[in-house]
Order: sequence, then structure tokens, then C-alpha cells
Amino acid sequence: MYKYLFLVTCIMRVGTLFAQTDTTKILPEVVVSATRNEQLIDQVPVPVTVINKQQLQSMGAVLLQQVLAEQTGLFITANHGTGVQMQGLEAEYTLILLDGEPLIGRTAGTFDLSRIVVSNIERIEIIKGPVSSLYGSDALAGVINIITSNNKQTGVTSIGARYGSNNTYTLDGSTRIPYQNGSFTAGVSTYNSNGYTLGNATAPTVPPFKTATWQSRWQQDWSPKWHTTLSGRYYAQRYNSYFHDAKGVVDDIGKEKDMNASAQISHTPGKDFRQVLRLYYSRYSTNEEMRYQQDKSVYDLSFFKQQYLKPEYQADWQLNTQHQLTGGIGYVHESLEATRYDDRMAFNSAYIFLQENWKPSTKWNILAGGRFDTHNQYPSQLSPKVSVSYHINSRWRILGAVGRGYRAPDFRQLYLHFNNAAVGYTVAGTKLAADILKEMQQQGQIKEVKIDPTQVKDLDAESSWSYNIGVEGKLFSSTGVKVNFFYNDVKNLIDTRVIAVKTNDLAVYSYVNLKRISTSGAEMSLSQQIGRYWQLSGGYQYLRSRDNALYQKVKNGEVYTKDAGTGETRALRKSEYFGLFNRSPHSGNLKIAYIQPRLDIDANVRVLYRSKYGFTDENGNNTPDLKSEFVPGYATINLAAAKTLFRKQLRLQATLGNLFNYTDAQHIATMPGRIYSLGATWNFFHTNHK
Amino acid sequence: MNKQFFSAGALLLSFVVLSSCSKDDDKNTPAPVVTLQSKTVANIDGDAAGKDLYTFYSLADNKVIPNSDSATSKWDIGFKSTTLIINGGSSGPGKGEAQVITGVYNNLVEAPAAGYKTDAAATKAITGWYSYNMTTHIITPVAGTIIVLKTATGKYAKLEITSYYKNSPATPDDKSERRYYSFRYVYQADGSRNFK
Repeated sequence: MYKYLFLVTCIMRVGTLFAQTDTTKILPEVVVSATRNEQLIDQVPVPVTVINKQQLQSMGAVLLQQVLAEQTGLFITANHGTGVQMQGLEAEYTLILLDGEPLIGRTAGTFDLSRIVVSNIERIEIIKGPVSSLYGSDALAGVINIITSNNKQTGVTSIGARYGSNNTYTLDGSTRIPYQNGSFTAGVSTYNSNGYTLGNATAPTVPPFKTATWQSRWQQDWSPKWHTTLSGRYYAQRYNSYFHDAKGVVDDIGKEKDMNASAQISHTPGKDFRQVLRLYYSRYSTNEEMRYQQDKSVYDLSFFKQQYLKPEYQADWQLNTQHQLTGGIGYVHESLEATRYDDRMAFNSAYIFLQENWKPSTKWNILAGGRFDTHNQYPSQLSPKVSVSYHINSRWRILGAVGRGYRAPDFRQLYLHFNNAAVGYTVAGTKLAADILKEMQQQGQIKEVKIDPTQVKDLDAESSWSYNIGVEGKLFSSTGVKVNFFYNDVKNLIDTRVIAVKTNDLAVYSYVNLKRISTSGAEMSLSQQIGRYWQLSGGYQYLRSRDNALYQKVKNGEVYTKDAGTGETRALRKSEYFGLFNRSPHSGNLKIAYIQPRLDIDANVRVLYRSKYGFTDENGNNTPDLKSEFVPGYATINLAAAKTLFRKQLRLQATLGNLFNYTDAQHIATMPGRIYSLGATWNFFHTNHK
Repeated sequence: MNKQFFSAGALLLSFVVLSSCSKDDDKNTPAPVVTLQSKTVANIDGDAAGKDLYTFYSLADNKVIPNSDSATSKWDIGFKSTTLIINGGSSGPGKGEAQVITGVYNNLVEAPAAGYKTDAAATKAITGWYSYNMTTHIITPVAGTIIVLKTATGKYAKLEITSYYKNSPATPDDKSERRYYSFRYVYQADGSRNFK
């Protein structure tokens, strides 16, 4: 991407520092996600968490979810794929970007993070709080931007392999060839595993799978003013699972493919003005075959295919030293075909965004902007946001932001037509509910209509107002502190509702804008350099969450529970209201790293903790309150140690994940027991062609 | 299958009622205090075999009524899967009516005066007593849900369903046998709305 060109020197210096030593002060990093143009991380008026390549490597992580699991305030969730919870908001409210472009292919709202391997990632930028003002739908809780582009001037070819528990192995290869006016990079990464089975499950918790990711990028400077970038990524996965049915064993074979391609031309006529035209295309498809093992007869066949095309124009204009304007206009065409949808569906939307970065003095930095999205399926959305930072002195600054975020109703909520063959219920998207119900009534499948489908309203987007205020700075010269308080008020949450009861006594569901929830809390992190080689860092998040209507009912004494002691029904006390499911009030992490550049050793210990959280409702009061409705709190410890040899050409690493072998088969499918791995990477440094 | 015993709650309630009556006893001649028993019923087959048959139950007699008597006024409530019927309207020849209210079972000392509905072919009087988990497919009686009904003979009763699974497991899972009703109820034979 053109914007990174301007950062080359900065990144290089940071890289050099990491490679050489550790104690001297590190130059501020540059981030792009908060403003859509490069800003120094300690100047941009939005708190941005950056995970750089060195941190990714020292963890020995293979998948994105492993990296995110160790970040303060983020939780990995399992609901139709592995997702991430941010500021107490579930996976569907966080936008996942790859080099600034949205990744598609969400199942029931969740983008499955296990699709992203980290070997090609240069750095990850995380912004908490809504960024719909720049990115539109889904950026309600925040944005995770995965950045793969790299403008280092050194050529290198690397091959790497890693082998570990559950017969898990990865093979990676990549090359970067910089030349006079550009660079070319390419990489392939494979990841295979036998999966694992927790507890006494009759089907694998994670079935055996094979994945491969190919990635390539070509950047070219045609002149000092014109610059182009072409990039592409292709991902394929296949798994082999099985489960038991009344009639026997059913084989379940799934295939998943994901590709993205982007082309962009940037034009920089002078140092005060840049413009860029981007074209982004992405395609995501799955294919699942379930057949009885014995006679190969079909249990279920399903497919899903989504496409996304987006042309976009953006301009950045530096009016003077105080004002910088960023604006853009774009169009999105999205389409979907799937087993559970009657026809090929298409969404079209157009948008415009504008942002002013005003620096009235060296102390103040104000970012004000908004985005307007029009859509052919739901009401238009205006998402404003204002962020302000104020430098109290050279060490401390205060940051505050107010913004609106939204999440559009998805295809499923509008157009799903799903009959669950195994259980027998039906789900109908709101646009189809009336027709589907009418058809079922004619076929005599409906016993009782609960809600007249003509009363089922068109869905509006889920939207939030969000407030963040924080402070960051240095307590001592080697002690960094960050504190942030947040409050998110989310309304029009889309929920399922029973619209009719079928003759088999199961329900026909549709969707409705119903609930209003709020999440609030505080997040703090601390980093401390101890001596030349030791680094200590820690983070903690306190989180409260609430379903507003339900909480009001609890206050009115209208929500009941079975008392654990007496077994009698009684009103739930206000103090017993725990909040939303799947939210831990307390969570934290502690990391100790030892980096000894002279001996080329790099080792670390990471301790992760989350307190108990609600898992299920066993007494129909829609809130976790009985002991058996909670997942107990737990801590895990991960270790990694690496040594580089032969003038940094060979890097060897051993990792040990989940040291005390903590598992909870009933509740936590994403956590296998103790995991060992050993990896080696060989780097061939090219002679410089520049 | 049916067991009957005093629940601790009913005993507790009767003490409360007895003690609260004692004030009046000072002035008036003591009237005979009849505390109603809360009866507990376990594992009523709500068509577990999927034969599309109701199990009929008489609250007055505290026993299961054979299917051959489905067209009579001998039964008060019927169970089939998650559907509950009462002996009235489209479901039977009796005077059965019902409504679902929320509150604490033990604290409901008088049946509401109004708000009862009869069964219709499309809409039964008793709805909304359970919640269905779309992920685990578990049926859970909603805590604090009380069914107040008039029996086939027009007498009042309050009823609370405690489980939909055989032997009332505390945490039913996909291996639990479903469509086995456990419930408790208070039946007022004197025709009043009083549940004390």
C-alpha cells in the first residue's frame, strides 16, 4: 500500500532496534487503521494496540486466534467458528481487515479466525471502540487490521517448519525481492493437524484438517508520483469429521475456500496531496458433505458462496500544518448463494466518508469525521465520530472519543430459509417470513401462528453509541501505563423470535430488532523494562454487561429463579444479576520476556486468566444465576523459547502451551490440553539489488 | 410412577398461614384451618414414544386417566410433547380454562379473578411455560411461571412444571430422556379461588 512507503525508514529503524538491542529507546511506531493514513502511534488521538512481527514470532503462534487470546480485553469465543469478543461485544461486532480491506465469509455473524495463519503477518493493529465512521458496517466494537505488507529493503527467502502435539505441523516458505523501484513478495503456508477430542465425546472436538494459504504482492513505483500495488491471497481448508446418528456413523467432509485480490493506484502530485483508487474483490465458499458411512447415502449436503466487490477512491489533503482532510467514496456489491437460501441474493451499497484531523496546537489533536452508507436492504446509516487527545506534558496524554457504530442485518437475518432436518425447526429471514409461513400453512405444517408475519417489520441495523476516555504515558522512564474506560450502548439488537409453532411442536423463528444492551468497564496495561534483558507486562480488564430490559425486570422483581438451597422459586435479587452470557467480569494477563541479543536468546512466559462467566440458562430466566450455568474461571500458562544461530540465519523455537493441561470439555471446545511444538526457520539473506 | 408427599415449601407456607391467622384467633372463635397440600407429581409421560397421544391427568384425583376417557370430564390436564391442554374448549367437554402468570408459586394465595382462556384448535390456553435453547435443544421450564387453571369441573388449581426430562436431572443434556413431566400443584376443591 502506498501509505506504507512513507514509513519505510521508521519501520526499518524499529526493526533494527529489535534485532540489535533492547534497552535504548524505541522510536514511535506508525499506525494506519485509526485514520486511514499513517500516524505516529503516540500522536493519533485513538488508542491503538500494535502487535509487531517480533512479538508474533516470540510467541510461536500459528493462528491469529492464539495471538488475540493473549491481548488484554479480548476473549476468544466459539460460536459457529472461532471469534473474538471486544469490550464485551460478541464476535459479529468486530470488523476484521486484511491490509485495510474487509474479510468476508461470516457464519452466523462470526468470522472464523482460524482461517488466518500468522506466518505472513507483519503486524496487527487493534482499535477498540467503533470505527464505523471510516469502515462502515461491523466496526461497532472495534477493528482488527491484519497487515501483511512490508517495505523492508532487504531481500530474504525463508523456509520454516514446525511440528507439535496432535500431529500438528506447519510448512512455510516465503520470499521478498526488493528492487530499484519496487518489490515482490510471495509466500505459502500450510497447516495440518489430526485435531483433538475432548472428554468422552463421540465425535472429534476439532476434526483432522489440512489448510494452505498462498499470498503474493507486487509493489511498483512508476515515477515519484505514481505507484501501484497488486496483491492476492488464497486459502483452502479441508476437514474430515464424523458423528453418530440413530442410523449409524455419518462422515462429515467439509471444504472451505477464501480468496482476496486487490489492485490499487496511488498518485501523489505533491507532498500535500495524495489520492488512491482501489479495487478489492473477495470470494468465500464452503462445501459440506455428510453421508452415512455404511451405504454412502446422503445425510445432508450444503454449500455457501459469497462474493464481494468494492471500488473505492480516497484522497488525503494536508491543507496546512493544522488541518488534514481525508475523504472517500465507494460502492460495494455483495452476493450470496447457499443451500439455505432460495435464490441468489445481492446487496448493493454506496458510501462516502470524510474526516478532518485538526491540530490546533502541539498539545491538541482532534479527529472528527463520519461516514454515510446507503443500502438497498435496510435504512441508511450515518456514523459520526470525534476523538480528541491532549498532551498534558511530554510524558502523559489524555484521550477521549465519542462515536456511533453499526452492524447491518446480514443475509441470514433477511433471507435465510432453513429447515433443520435433524431437530425439526425452521428459521425464516424477515423478508421471506410471510411467504414461507403461508406456504407451510398450505402444507398443513403449522399448528399455531404466534405473530402475524405481516407484523414482522423490516430490520434496521444494530447500532451503538460508544464513549471511551483514557490516559496513557510513562510513570517512570521505563514504565509505560495505559488506562481506558469504555461504555457502549447498543440498541436494536437483532434477536430470534418464535413466529409460529409447527405441528411437530417446534418453532418457526424469524428475526426482530429487540434488545438493548450495554457494556462498560475499564482496561489497563502496564509495561516495565527490568535491567537490560527482562521485560514485564501486564493487563487487566474489568467488564460489566447488561440486558437493559431484563435488568429492569430484575429490579422490579419480575425475574425468578430456583433457590439453590431450598429448591423453591423466588425472585432473582438485583445483586444476583450477573450480566450477559459469555462475559467474564475480570480478566488479565502477565507476560515476562527475556531477550538476550548477545546470546541470541528470546524466551517468555505468559499467564492468562479469566474469571467465571455465564454459559447457559437452565431455568428459563434468560440470565446466568445457578452455579451450573457458569463456566468456572481459569488460568493458563504458555511458554516459548527461541535461539538464533549462524548470523541469524537459523532460528529454533520450542513452545509449550497450556502448561498445566487445563481443559473443560463441557464448555471450552477451543482449548486442547497441553501442546508442545518445535520449529525451525532458515533465512537466506539476498545480496541487495538496490 | 406418581408419588405424593408434602413439599417442604407447603409445610413452610402452612406455618406462615397458621401464624398469620393466630392474630384473628384472639377475637374470633377459631375456625378450622384447612391448609391445602401442594402435591408433587413426577415423570408423567408426555408422549415420550412419539405416538401422538396425550397423557391425561386428573388434578382432583391426583392420578393418570386412561386415554379411553379422553372424551369425558374425568381429566383436567393433558400432556403431549411441549403441548399442554385443559379439559375445555376445543380440547374436551369440561369447563377447563387456564392462564399462565409469573410469580412465586408459594406466594400465590389466590387465583386471578379474570384472564382465563379456553383451548382453541390453533391456540392453546397454556403457552410460554418453557424456553427452548436453539444450541443445546434443551427445553427448560421458565422459572417463576405458574399455570393457573380451572379443572374440568370448574375448580381452581395452580400448577408449576419443574422438569421436562425423566427423573428431573438438574442439568438435562442431549442424553436426557425428554417428554417426561414433573410438576407440583395445589387443587382447591371448594370452588373458591383461595390457595391458602
